[in-house]
Formats: sequence, structure tokens, C-alpha cells
Amino acid sequence: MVDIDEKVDYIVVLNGEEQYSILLADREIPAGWVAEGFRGPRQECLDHIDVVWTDMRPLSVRRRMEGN
Amino acid sequence: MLYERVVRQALRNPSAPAVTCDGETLTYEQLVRRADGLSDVLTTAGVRRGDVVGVLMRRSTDMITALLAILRAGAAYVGVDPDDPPQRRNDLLTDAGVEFVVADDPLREGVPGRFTTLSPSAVSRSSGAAVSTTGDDLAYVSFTSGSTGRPKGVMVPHRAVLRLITDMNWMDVRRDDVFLQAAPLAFDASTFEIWAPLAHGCHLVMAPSGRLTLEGVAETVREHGVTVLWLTAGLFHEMVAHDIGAFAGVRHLVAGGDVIQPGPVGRLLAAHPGITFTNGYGPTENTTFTTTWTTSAAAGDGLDTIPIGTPVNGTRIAVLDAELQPVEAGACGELYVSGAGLARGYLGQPGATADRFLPDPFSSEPGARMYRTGDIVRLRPDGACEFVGRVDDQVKILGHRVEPGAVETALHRLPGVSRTAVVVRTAADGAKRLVAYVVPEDVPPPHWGERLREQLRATLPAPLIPWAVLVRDTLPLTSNGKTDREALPVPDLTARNVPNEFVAPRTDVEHRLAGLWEGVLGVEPIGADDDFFDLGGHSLNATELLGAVRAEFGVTIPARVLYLQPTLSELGEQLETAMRSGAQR
Repeated sequence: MVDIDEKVDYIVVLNGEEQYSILLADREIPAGWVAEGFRGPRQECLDHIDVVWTDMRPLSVRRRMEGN
Repeated sequence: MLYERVVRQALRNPSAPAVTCDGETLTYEQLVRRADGLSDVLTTAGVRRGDVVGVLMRRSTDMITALLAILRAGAAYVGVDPDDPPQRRNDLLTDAGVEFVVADDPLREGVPGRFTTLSPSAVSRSSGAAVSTTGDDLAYVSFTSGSTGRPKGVMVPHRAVLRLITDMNWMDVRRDDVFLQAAPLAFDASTFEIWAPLAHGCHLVMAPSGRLTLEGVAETVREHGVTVLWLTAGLFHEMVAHDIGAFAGVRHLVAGGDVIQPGPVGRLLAAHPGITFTNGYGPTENTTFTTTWTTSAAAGDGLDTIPIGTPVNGTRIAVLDAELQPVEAGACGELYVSGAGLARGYLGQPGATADRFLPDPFSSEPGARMYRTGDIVRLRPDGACEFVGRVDDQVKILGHRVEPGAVETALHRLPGVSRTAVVVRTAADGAKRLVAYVVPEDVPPPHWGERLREQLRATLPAPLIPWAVLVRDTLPLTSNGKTDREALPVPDLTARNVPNEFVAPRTDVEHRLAGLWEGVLGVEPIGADDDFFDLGGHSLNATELLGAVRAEFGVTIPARVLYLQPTLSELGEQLETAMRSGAQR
């Protein structure tokens, strides 16, 4: 039941594992998440994430694999 | 991770039976030895840690060997259903970024040349070491069919599977248990069926290869003394109705995948008082089971509904309103889940992942995510959840938000109802109508559907009364055993659908009035004794009708007259009275 009204702004956020998500722009950002900088209607945020989230492996997994 | 769990069992009890299918049994030692041989073939061919390897196989001991071999190579498996159309199979393999496919020999020909196919019976002479993996490495990818858009490949890590099958708070696995394996590999119920027994040293018995039938399942359960099995809700209901005796030797029966009806659960517990029954609920994105609800004969009398229950170990749930605030006990909200069972996301679909896996504001662990299930549940005061419906299924009918699931629940409470499905149909005029499909327990009385519809009026508000209740011998099932809502027959939404006998309009006024009703309701023919509201009338089209009456007859009928005298003949009389008094003025 998340508001999907396209007039409402969301922001793009990511956590320490560089996993992306979205949040209503007026919400408090939960601990361990930071704003990525992109802000806009929900679908535009998701389209942006489709472009910037190029490796969906958690950061710790990426580092471990590259260490191998 | 999973591979090592199975090896541990092989070291502990090498000669114990691990897997049986179609008359062939592998011991734990044989299973691991074969998997090691195939795994080296995969590694030599180029399979690397983190790859996703396709599995195009029918149920067989080889299939289990192949899964173990893929995991040993550090890769994840993606099951592709051999019965799916080739185009869909190839699309899924492409979407999953698969390069290698382990395929049964008869199925290998159908795999396009851009994939490298490997035979499950290939054995290498070399003996490399198992690739070490962590809980974050992927174990499998499972495609969810989804009602709209392209299928999404859910990426499930080892940690999520281990949280499902170890330290379980809802069942105890015993070393001498015999588990049934019947679900398609592409369906994530297979995760529980395969890895719970193999991680605990139990015997895994597979239903015969080929199309799953009630008879095949019943025979396998009887012949091999199956003690633990998972069934789709549809198959569970069918087996209780047609062969309840098959469960005589079963210790723990788990059903899920769709709404479980209380009637069959009550009958199961009455027939087999020693059995434990669990309703297992969960989206693929949280690895097979998210919540469970368990009952036995001692506790299970007077079941009204079968809740989906409380979270399994390693999983947290939150029932939230539209503002993402927890709802009070007793209220409905959307179910959000978090914890070790969460998938990594949707393979190759970052935007779709970000849309469903949200920052978890309730977690003590910074950066944690929670999955938005799209399921509406009611949080009972005792902490257990009841499934109410899908967010996507909510429809507005006559301005009311209607849950088809709530209508199904109400139908189930009526005597004689075995199974139901309630769907929304859109008539030619764009009006949305609820249509209920009902399967009786026994031979139903005449006009049973109409009677059920009348009985519903005692418990449901008007917008939730189905436009039609259709009685059927059975409901179609998907290959995953869920009710196939797409395959339900579409009734004639313009046909007259009321319990009373058709009496043709008699007077000139009735004939002209019937024409107006047809136009407003989109229903024909209209009988003299038909009730405007029974035919689908409501406050909005009542206003429309009275406007049409004014235009046609030049008299104004107040809305309350229509409400008090709602049949065609009654309204006709009122009209004639009004016209006479108008003429006298």
C-alpha cells in the first residue's frame, strides 16, 4: 500500500552493501542508508536505479570474489 | 554451504538411503560421489563460482546429483520446467544469464546452440576440491510467474536456505523421516522438499517423473512410507476429498501456495489424529516459508479459518499501513518481511528490486532491507496473521474497496462448500462484477449457487455479494497446483441472473421500462418480477435509471420509491399511478 501517486517525490537511497532502494522524500532515512542524490517521481527513481546499479552483488561479496 | 551439509551426512552414515526415484535409490555415499564426478565436469567445462547453471531435467536421482554438483562448483542452479514451451524456457535461461545447462539426454536437443549443454551422467576422472562458498553466495534462482510483466528471477543465497531448514521452530526433523519430493524444481517449494531432508540425513523419495497426479503422489506416499510432505493447497484439498487414507503413515503434512480451507484440515485431523498439519506461507523472495501455522487433532477443533501464522526462525514480519506504520492488533495491513531469508533481489532487474526491497526502519541492523509482499493480512490479537488478499486484487466496486479473498472466506463458512475462487470480471459496459466459482462437497441441491448468494447477504455488505455464484465440479489448477484463475470460464455477464422465474413483461409500461433497465444494467431479458438491485443495480445506476424514466415517461420517480418497490412490475405500477395523477393535474 505504498503511495504510487506519481506526483509524490521519492529519493534514491543505498546501504553499506551498495544495495539501492527508494524512499518517500519526506521520510526519515533509516540508519545504515544514505541518499544517493536522485530525487523524483517513483518510476523515474526506479529507472535511474536501473542505470546506476550495475552489479547487484552485495559489496562484501564483490570484494571477496575479487580477492580470490 | 549446502553441499558441505550433505557431505557431513554422508560421512556420518554413508550407507543410508539419500534419494529414491522410479525404483532407483542412491545412498548418501553414492550421491556425493556422483555429484563430485559431475561437479568436476562442470568446472572443467568452465563453470565458475557465482555462475548460474540451468537445470532442464525431470524428477530423477540424477536431478538431485546435478543440483549438488552445481553447488559444489560454487554456482547456483536455475530449474527450468521441461513442460514449459521451448520459447519460455529459452527466455528464462537467457534472462538468467546462463551459459551452461545440465539437461536430460532426451531434452538436450531442444536447447539452442548458444547454451553449452552437459549430460547429468557425465563423470570426470579428475578430482578437484569443492569450491568454498559463504552464506552470501547464491544457491539458486527461482522465476516467479507474476501476473503482469516479465518473469522475475529471484536470487536466493545459501544463508536463506539454511535459515529455512535448520533450527526450525515449527517442525522437528527426525533422522528416520522420509520426505516426498513432488514440486517442480522451478517452484521454490522444492527448496524445502530437497534440502531439508538432505541436510538432516533423511530419505528423499521423489514422485514418479512426468506429470504429477493425485494417484502418483498417493502411491509414492504409501509405497515408501513417506512421513513428511508438502502439498499445494489445491492438491491437498483434492487428496483429502479423494484419498484421505493415503496420509495414514504421515507424521507431518505441510500445505501452502494458496489459501487453505478449514474443512479439509478438520477432516484430515479427524481421520488421522496423530498427524501434525502446517500451513506454510511465504513469497519466493523470502525463501519458501515466511510464516507457518501448525495444528494437530488435540488443538484443531472448530477451525474457522486457517491462519498463515507466525514467522519462522530468522524472519521478522511487520504488518503496516499505507504510511508504513504498524497496524493495531486485529487490523489489516500489508505484510513486510525481513531477516536471513531475504533474497538478494531480482536477477538483472535493479529497478524492480529497489521497488520491492525497501529500507527497513524497524531493524536494529543498520542498512537492513525489508520485502514488500503485496499481501494483505489481518494481524490477530494472538499475533498470528490471516491472509486476506493481494493488494493488486483489490478492486473498487460501486465505490467500495473489495477483496475477492474476503468473499471466498465468507463462502467457505457456508455449509457444503469444498473449494471456491472469486474473481473480478469486467462487463462490456466497463462495470466490474464479482463472480464466484464454487465446488460442492457433495451433490448440491437445485439452484445451490443462487441459494449461496442469498446466504451471503446475511454476512456481507452489498458490494461484496457476487454477481453470480457458479457451481462447478472442479476448479482448474496451474502446474504449481494453485487455482488457475485465468482458466476459469467467463460467464455471460449480460445474462439475467436472478433466482426467481422469468415472467415476461405484460403491460406497455413494463415493456418500455424493461428496455430502460436493459440499457442501464446491461442485462437481458428483464422479467416482470425481477428486482433492479438483484440484477446489478446500485445507487449510481439507480440515479441513471430514474433520469431515463423522466426522459421517457415525463414523470419524476423519487429514488426511495425504487428502493421500496424494486421489481419491474412494482415500479411499473408506481409509474402508471404517477402518470395518471400527472394527467389529472
